[in-house]
Amino acid sequence: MTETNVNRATAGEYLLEVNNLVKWFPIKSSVFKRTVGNVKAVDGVSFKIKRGQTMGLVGESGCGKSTCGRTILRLQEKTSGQVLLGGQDIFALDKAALRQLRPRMQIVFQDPYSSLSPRLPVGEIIGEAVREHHIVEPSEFNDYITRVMEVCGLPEYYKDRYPHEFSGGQRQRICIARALALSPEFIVCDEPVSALDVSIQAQIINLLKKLQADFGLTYLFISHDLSVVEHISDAVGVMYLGSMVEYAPTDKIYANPLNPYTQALFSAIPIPDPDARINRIILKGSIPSPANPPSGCKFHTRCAHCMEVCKYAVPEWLEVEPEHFCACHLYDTPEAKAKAEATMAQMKRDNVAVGGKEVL
Amino acid sequence: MSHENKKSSYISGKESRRITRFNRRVTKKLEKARTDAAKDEALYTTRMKNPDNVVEFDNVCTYFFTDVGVVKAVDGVSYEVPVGKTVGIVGESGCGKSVTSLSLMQLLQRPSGQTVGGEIRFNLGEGDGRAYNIVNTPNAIMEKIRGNRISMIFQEPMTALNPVFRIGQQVDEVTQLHFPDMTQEAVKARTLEMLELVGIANKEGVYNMYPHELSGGMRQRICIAIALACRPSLIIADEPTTALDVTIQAQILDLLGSLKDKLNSSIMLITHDLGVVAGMADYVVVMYAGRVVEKGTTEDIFHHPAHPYTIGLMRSKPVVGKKVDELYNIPGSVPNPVEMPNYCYFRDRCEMRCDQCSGQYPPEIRISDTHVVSCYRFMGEGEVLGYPKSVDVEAL
Repeated sequence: MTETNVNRATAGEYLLEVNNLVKWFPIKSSVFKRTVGNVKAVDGVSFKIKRGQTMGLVGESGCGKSTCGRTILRLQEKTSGQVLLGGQDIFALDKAALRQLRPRMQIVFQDPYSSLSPRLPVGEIIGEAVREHHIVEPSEFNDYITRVMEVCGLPEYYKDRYPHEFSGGQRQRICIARALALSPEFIVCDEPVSALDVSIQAQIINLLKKLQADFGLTYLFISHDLSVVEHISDAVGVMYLGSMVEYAPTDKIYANPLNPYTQALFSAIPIPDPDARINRIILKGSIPSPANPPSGCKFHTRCAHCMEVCKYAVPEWLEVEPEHFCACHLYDTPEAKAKAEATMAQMKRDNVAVGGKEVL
Repeated sequence: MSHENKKSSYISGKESRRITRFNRRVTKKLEKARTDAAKDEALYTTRMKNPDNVVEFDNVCTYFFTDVGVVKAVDGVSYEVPVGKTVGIVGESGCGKSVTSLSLMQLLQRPSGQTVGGEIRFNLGEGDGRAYNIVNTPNAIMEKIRGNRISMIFQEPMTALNPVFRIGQQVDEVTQLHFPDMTQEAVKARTLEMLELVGIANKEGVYNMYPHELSGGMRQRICIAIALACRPSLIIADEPTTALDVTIQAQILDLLGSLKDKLNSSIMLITHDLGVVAGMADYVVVMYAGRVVEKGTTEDIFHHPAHPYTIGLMRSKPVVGKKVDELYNIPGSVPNPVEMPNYCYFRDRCEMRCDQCSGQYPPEIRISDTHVVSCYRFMGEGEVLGYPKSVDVEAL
């Protein structure tokens, strides 16, 4: 695991840069397979992650967090936008070059029950990619796998066992070992603890933090559990219906959420203290369909602070406070406000229909 | 874990045949005892210890006779649910919290799953404390209780609803079953009233929809409408919000709380999320490996947790606004359910263990009026209420 430490120091401060990433899934008509619409799963997301840090990505289910994580790794092709890993544009690479890059970026999936092949022993699950990418000499192979397993808290004799013999927590350790064996720089953790019990969750979170400290890993931590995200992340991005609505360092966003959606989301966190009487903002309805999102600000159908302009103009992504980004008309600068009002006037003149179809 | 552990899970052919023979003999005997008990009303009617409770669990033992041996999923569990209150049941997966509620509904997979001992007393609500002992109650009477007096909300609303029937039909069904004299119009009116009660704006439209047309939160509302259609005195909510998002979870919990007050029902809230329990429950029962380790009011449990397992569970969950460098994790894992130790089940994972812990399983100790804990650390600090009673399977 020492080889990649060398080239790790070369690139700049940010390991991952995502610029305006868009991923649409086409909806095909039943007979002629013509595209009749798009599910806008990820619709213009930008963020940067510093080397050795963790960014948490939160939001309700169906808001595009997982699609975002998968597209960043080019597990599926983008619609438009750019992803830079260590300064290299992932989508510009050809097949061979992408393969070269693969060991540097890995993923840990949500469900440890379906992400491990039931027909391979654990040693082979972890070692398969190591052999494929020639990470170590064949003579050292066995030793190397043992070391990786040890780091993840798996004893050596587990090597010949099969996934069904393990509990959820142990399986998640195997998944982490599989990702770690390629000595990656960047790991996407796609809800790695949601399927686990509280006490096991703590073990896995501690393991992820320890590995980050030991190997300088960078994580994109996708989760809907806001308390876990607060614990593990350095910065947090909040997504709603395919767009990022707020992005800030963890302390700032939890102390002072700006966007009304973030406020509602954070107020809904159940707190394990019977005396904690918080003013819960209960959102009405549920998330609209991403195939036909509301016009203007996508959140306006459920927002308590909805203004006339929100129904027409898309809010700009602004740095409201230093390092604290937010897209909401409440925090518009005078220029942005003028621009939004101009858009609204124009749309009103053209009689553009507003609103969005709500899923029941 | 070690190499020996692997060997211990191996069962020889001879042993396997012995287990199968034993299971067949015991389950046959238990089934026969059940049919005999169902014939005599005196055997399944009993009296509540306290008529203010809806349900009293008294040393309930629910065992599963499986091919690898007897799994004691619930072993001597006692707690009660008072009228109009919410009781939260907390524990990790496999600790027996769902099996307790299934025993109450008699929904266990028979014949392998059997309630072999103890009493589950369900208040008939006639004011004189008469009660059914659910363990012996015949099926004909259970059918009248299920969905009518006790109803259940399940974790996954998509699998709880039938995909091929319209929403209206599925809510109607409950009312029709329990009130066969009602006219079609009255049933529909009641269904629409229920849909409105659970906060569905477009009730006429939803009445004619199929489950797949609704979002997760809406489906869970439908499940709640079905559960409440007959105004039950007890609602069992088995992880009602685990499959939902935080914002929807807040909606559903808010709804459940307000409906409970409207209908004056009690709720058994089964969950593994301590945050949900803290916000909803009046009383909390903490279960571990098939036994109750601690019970008390919500304040007791959250402000003065006594059992090392409860303390560990609270420390292992990250809390928003509280920064810790490393989360606490409870070392080790749950003991093998087939071969439970004869000392405290938590001893091997406990950081506060003492010499006494290697002795008999600790008794329930009352450390305050409402707070009961099973741990030797409190021996002598309160009244000993008694040991959980297990059933000797070999003697059956």
